[in-house]
Amino acid sequence: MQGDEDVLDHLNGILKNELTSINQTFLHARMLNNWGIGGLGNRVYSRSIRAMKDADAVIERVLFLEGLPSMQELGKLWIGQDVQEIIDCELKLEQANLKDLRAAVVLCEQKRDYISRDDLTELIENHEEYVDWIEAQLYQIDKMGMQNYIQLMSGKGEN
Amino acid sequence: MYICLCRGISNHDVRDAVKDGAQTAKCVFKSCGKKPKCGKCIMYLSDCISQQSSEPLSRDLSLSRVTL
Repeated sequence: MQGDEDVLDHLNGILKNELTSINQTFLHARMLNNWGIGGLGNRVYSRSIRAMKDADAVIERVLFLEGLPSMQELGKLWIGQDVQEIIDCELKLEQANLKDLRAAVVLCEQKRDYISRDDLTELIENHEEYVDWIEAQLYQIDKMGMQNYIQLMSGKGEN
Repeated sequence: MYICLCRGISNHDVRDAVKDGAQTAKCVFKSCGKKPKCGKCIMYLSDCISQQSSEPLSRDLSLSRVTL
């Protein structure tokens, strides 16, 4: 089924963000595991896999609308050098992605592409969940201090 | 935080390079003894340099000041 050009452009923009997210979170997860902070690494790794599934959903939708998924483009990766920076970088990326997702939902609504809108709304839900988790980590760091937080999250990575 | 992932240049490296007189992205790479690769970071590197240059007393470049 032929989709609207603007919708396809936005979907490809979202795909670019998801591909960026996969790479950033995966590298962060592996860095955390390498530092022995497996508890945190496992959660970030799960997010990376989630982003991969989100990207898959967008790719399928673009193909269904007879567009070409743009797998080549990748945004700037924000890679932290310690736990605090990693959490900050993750939050920054997620907030930027959420902004783009919301703009894409509005466009799909205007173009009456309700299925793309619903798919993107599900993505927003996943991203908001992750942002909420990141904010909870920032709260914990603030309350217990970074050293205690790292001790709490220490351990072997399961993945 | 890494500014250039290809060459592993961090915001701390940029700060040190600016302290040593670097004013352009090219100078930062030269100061770090590295060459640019993909070029994706140049824009962000320039932002970092101008932020560091405008606030020479700043000890660190916090993430919140680097716009996505």
